Amino acid sequence: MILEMRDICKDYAMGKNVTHVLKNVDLDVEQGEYLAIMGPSGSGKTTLMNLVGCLDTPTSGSYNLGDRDITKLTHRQLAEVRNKEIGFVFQSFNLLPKLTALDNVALPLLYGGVRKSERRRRAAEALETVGLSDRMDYRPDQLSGGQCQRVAIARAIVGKPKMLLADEPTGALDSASGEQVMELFARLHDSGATILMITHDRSIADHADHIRFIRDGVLSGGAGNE
Amino acid sequence: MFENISLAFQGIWSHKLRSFLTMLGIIIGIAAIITIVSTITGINEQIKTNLIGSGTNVVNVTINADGYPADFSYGSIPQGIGTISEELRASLDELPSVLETSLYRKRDWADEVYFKNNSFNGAIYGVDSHYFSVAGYDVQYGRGFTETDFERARKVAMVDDTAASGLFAGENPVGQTIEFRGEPFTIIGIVSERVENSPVINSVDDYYMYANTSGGTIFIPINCWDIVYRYDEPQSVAVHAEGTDEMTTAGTNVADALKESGVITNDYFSYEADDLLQQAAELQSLSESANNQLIWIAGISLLVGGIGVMNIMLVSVTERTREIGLKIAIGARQSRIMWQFLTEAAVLTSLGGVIGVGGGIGLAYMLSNVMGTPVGISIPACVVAVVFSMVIGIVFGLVPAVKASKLNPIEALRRE
Repeated sequence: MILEMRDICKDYAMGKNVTHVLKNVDLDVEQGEYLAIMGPSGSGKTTLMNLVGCLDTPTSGSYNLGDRDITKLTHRQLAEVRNKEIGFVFQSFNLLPKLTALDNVALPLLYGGVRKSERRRRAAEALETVGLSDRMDYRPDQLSGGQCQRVAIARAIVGKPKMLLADEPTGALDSASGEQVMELFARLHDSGATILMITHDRSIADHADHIRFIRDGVLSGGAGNE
Repeated sequence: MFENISLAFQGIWSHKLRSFLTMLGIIIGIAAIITIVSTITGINEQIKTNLIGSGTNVVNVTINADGYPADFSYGSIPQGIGTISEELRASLDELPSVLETSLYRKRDWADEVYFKNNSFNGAIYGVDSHYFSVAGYDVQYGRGFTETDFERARKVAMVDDTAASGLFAGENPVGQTIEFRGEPFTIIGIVSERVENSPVINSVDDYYMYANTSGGTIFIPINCWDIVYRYDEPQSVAVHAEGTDEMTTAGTNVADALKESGVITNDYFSYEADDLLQQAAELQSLSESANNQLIWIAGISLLVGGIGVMNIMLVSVTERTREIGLKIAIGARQSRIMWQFLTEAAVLTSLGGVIGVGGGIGLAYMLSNVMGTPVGISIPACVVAVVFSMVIGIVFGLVPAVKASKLNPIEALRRE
């Protein structure tokens, strides 16, 4: 088991009222699994995503990623987990506009303290995996949306993380580019990557091996259910 | 670190106008300070040069009576003042900071010295064989004093340029005979000062002082002094220091050695160094204190500039919220985000400092052309100015940088 969440709750205080955004969520992800979590907006799926991605900490519950208890880590250790164990793919790509595709991809390695020549080599390798070897020196404004998302995926896999975390990865793309991105995910999955995807779109969720649904902060179906 | 700096330069370059306007406060502040400091340094050097004489590095050790310079030209010589032997003088050469010493006697106002019908109204120096090298004179024409001149107390004399042209009215002085209180002295040579050191005349008093010494100087061997004046007149010591900054030490060392030697047994008198350096420092501090206030006023401009930098950096943090959010999401530590913004602020203000130093030097030279103030560029001041602007960047960049590093990545990523 790569990821194991038990009894996770997340509350937000809004003035005097406390909103319970996540209610007793259990989530397990196995090595090599391709899981989609579906839910409408406001269902708490983005909050769950942030908790899984170690950008936020739960109000209660336990969360183990690999052999680490995430709820006990410091800021600095959380940064290291985000850097080494998780690869983020965002809806809006979030590439740095002034850097080339290669430099964008190499960025997590820079934060991980990898040497420059090694960074360039591994970034070029990741770009090759996503089929953009010929676009290394292009900046994001010279690339199409689909190409930008593939650069972002290259950035997510460059550090060889335990898990890819994709938040509406096709949300900003036309259907053709979206399809290409989904094919890329399928290919990464075939080569052994663990993928957790969050979406509101059934046709996208259908690409995954398993689908789980979230509504009003409750994740339906126990661990292992389809 | 290096990558942060190069990224910072890229950022500055991509917002040229904004960066320049941000730097302007720093540029103006640093330029103003460098202009003021350059002018102060220039004035200080001018004071030092005028008062001490550039490059001669000579300090005179003379006898003081109760703290004031004593004059033995007239009246009887007091009890308890002996003469300095050649052995004692040679020992003074060995003192720290001292290059060479020389004994002399002098009359500021020579009387009864004539060439034909012209009377001489300059100074008379009785000097030993070291004097010309100590005081920085070269023999221009004719010959200098020889061993034999001293041993046999030959009645020979040398004149400086001024006396040569003033007293001899166009005739070649060498070989001429002057009448010195009834004694004939033969002129054997002309000396001139190695370093031309004409004082700047700022007031009527200065003018009188300068005009009254314009008669020039006549030198005779110190052994001949008693032919025209008296036996065993007190001597003064000219001390050639190893450097301008060591003049005070050299003078004090010689004066102390003479006090210990027991040449003077009368408590009322003592050998003291004419501390020109001290007088120069007093004049310099006078000009500095006025200008230091100007530096404080210019410092306010730096404060305003620093606040401007903080303001723009805060705007920049807001603009780049998503970028910061992404960096945190992919594993950048808080400290790295903080350093990125601190570096950017420091590079921005250092660049402003460098431009300011350049502008300040330019302005100082422009002022000196228009108003005739001297300019002295102080390298340490320039370095301090650039380092100080960097510190301003770090200090005023701290608040925006900490703000950036403390951003909540969830909200930062959501921001459009």
